[in-house]
Amino acid sequence: MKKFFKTCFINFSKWVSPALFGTILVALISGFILFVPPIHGLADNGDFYRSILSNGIYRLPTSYSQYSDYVIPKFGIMQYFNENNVSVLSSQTLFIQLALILNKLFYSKSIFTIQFMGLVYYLFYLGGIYLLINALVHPFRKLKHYFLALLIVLIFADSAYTLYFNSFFAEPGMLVLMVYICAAILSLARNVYSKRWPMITLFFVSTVLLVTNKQQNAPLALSFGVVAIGIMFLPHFKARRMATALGIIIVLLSGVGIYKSIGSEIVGANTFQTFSHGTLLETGDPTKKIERGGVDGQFALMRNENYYSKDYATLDPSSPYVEKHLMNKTGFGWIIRYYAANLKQFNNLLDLAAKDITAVQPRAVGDFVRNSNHKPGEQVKYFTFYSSLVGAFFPGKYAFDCLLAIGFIAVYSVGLYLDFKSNRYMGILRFFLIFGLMTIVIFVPIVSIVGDGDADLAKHLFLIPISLNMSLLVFVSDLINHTLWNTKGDKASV
Amino acid sequence: MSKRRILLIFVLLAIFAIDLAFPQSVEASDTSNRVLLVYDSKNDVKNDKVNIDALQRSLTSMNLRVKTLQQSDYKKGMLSNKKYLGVITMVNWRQVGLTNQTFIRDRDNFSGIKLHIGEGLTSTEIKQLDSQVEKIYQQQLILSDGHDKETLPFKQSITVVTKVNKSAKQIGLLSTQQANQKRYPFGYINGKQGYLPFFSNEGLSLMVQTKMIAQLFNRIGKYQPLLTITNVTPYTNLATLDKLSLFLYKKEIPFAVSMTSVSDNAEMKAFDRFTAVLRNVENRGGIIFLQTPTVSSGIDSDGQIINKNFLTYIVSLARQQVFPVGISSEGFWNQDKILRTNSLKFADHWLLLPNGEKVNYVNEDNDA
Repeated sequence: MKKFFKTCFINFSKWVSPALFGTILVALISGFILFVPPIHGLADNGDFYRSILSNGIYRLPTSYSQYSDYVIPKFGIMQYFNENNVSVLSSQTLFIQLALILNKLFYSKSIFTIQFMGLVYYLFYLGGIYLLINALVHPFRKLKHYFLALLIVLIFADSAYTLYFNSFFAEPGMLVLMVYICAAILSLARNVYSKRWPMITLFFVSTVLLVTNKQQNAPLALSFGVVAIGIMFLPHFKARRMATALGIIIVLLSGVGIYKSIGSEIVGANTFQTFSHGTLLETGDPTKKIERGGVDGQFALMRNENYYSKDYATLDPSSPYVEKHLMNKTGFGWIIRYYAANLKQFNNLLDLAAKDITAVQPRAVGDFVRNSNHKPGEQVKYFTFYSSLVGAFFPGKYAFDCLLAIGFIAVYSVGLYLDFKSNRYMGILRFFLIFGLMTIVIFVPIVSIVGDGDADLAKHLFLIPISLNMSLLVFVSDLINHTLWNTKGDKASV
Repeated sequence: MSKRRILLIFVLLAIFAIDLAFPQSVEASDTSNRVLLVYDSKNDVKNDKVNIDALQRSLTSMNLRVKTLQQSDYKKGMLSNKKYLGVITMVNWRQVGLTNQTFIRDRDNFSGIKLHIGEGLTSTEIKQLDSQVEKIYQQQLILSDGHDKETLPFKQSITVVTKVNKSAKQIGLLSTQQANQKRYPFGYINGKQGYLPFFSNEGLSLMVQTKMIAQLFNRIGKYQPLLTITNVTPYTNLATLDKLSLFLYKKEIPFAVSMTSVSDNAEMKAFDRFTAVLRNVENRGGIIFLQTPTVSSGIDSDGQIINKNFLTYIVSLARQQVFPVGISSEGFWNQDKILRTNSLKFADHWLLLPNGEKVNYVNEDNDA
């Protein structure tokens, strides 16, 4: 019996590598939820217009509200001159245009169906997953490597992530690119491919696209700049070291560029929400606190108000009165000074952010289409085991995240030191990857709170759970491959 | 703050915020007070839709229920003696004018009260007015009513009544500025038939127009302006509001404050301060109108949110001993089924203000 299983496994592993095995599973699991009707996805929280209008897609008129409750599967494609300006500069446009081309080729020239958006992300994602698993297990085909592939499936085929594909949010692009970035670095570190330049190119292209995917990603240019430092340590590489330096500069510039492209209206919205969703929260009566900072205490009544109010506003936050008496006073400097004077409140806000890290699946919008016999706003529970497990048990404390980051960095510093001494590069590349990911974990909550308060917090933190999962996977794979502190035995890099 | 500066602020506020408003109680309606308003065009380019808004608001203030239609939406038989007390024809853009012949035919057969505003009087209408009219060109006329006078803006052309029936009533007087000054009636009423050469949304014209329409529809009452300080919010500079109300109290000027409130955070000190100043306003003889909030979107399709908000406003203000006498809102709230029935119904007294820049309907029905 045991022998039978063994021969079965040997035959299986001959034909199906762990990477292929994992990719097929991800394809089946997420393909089912995305494309088998009735399809699933994420409903519009009111943000879709930013990405669709400038790409020539519009809402078809309906007798019901198209917001929040249900996923809207069909949109119209503009046939004539598109008068909408590009409201937000983003690399998301590339994905949408690709989906539009496919849609026009295979479906219709006038109606856009959201599955094509999902298909574009899905195909890129599967490629990324294949590269990632291959980078972590190559060239082994032992049972434990199949289990590692299964772990990756469990984490990355989780519906909490893949549901994003059938939507016009920018997050799925970030997820896909993040997988490519990590896969590229890990492939380089373990010498999976004989030529290095494809993976280096992949890394820089993905990084630039990720940084320019959303304006809030601008600070990430620094984190990925750190990751890219590792590439400099590759051997026989003198001539290309300049090219890598150039790549880092391009990444940093793209960060600056995307930051500069933030329009005045969005700056206004962020300034307002940093105040109403940040400085006024997690404290008793803020009236006197903000007065001490030189702002009329009456504005404390704006606690929890949105810049784009959902229904009714006592005073329109975009009115000149609010701009003159509130927003002109509460700039970046004011916010920093305020939090410096109210550290306890700031710490409470960071804990709030830490709690939101695990909220990957947005609860505010529904996952089902209309007429699918589901309640408005209902959530998909299919294949969300990993995200609900983490949501239930991951501690919502910022201090814990910091300790975790320090732990990861400390563990990989040992590998860095050993490899540095013995002139190997795997540990160095890996260290800078982990270090870059941990800067995301530590600094993104701070940037989010200072930049936009708790408004849309869970979405601003989207890259943190991915970074943590990625670090966990690297760690587990190092344990399995016995390469945590000793990269000499790594057969992949021989 | 020096006295002069306070005065300056007062003057600025007054210029900014005084609106002619018509507080009047509203009763349950029946067919005897329904009016049909048919206009040719909103004339968006010149923003003349404000005239329609102003007319709707003054009709509502006379306890008339007004159904508003663009002429193209008029269908045969809509206007009947059974349904309507009167009909108002408004030519808002003389280059368009009335073209819907079905409406003109139905109007000719209608025997209730009729008012024509603007140019394009038909021969039947002139016959019913029992007078003669003449079109005069390129004039800047002066409107006078009793002791009050107002120089009107320059007009390309205007149709005036030249021959007056003895039994007819004249309200206000238009006079030319030439040497041999000519005089024409402004508002003209012959029995059930009335005529106004134009409709303006401000100044003396609006007051005279309102007086004329009230007489035509046999509404008794005197329509006087009320100094209303609008745009007061919980975020307003409270010291200024306090000083302003004290100033008006000392000068014995009656005034009203139209203010918005918050539905959340009423437990904060900031809210106590706001209501403390409002209590001062009440003690100084100011009357308080609770103003409707800004409509940000049409998401509240069944009106539950605004209904709940109003209950919260009223309860949280009452807890602090602030009692608004009525509800104020921009005119379009009264033309919207959801907004009207879920906010204005909370009060007997309404203060309808001109529409602001953002007019967001939830469910427009033009059936106030």
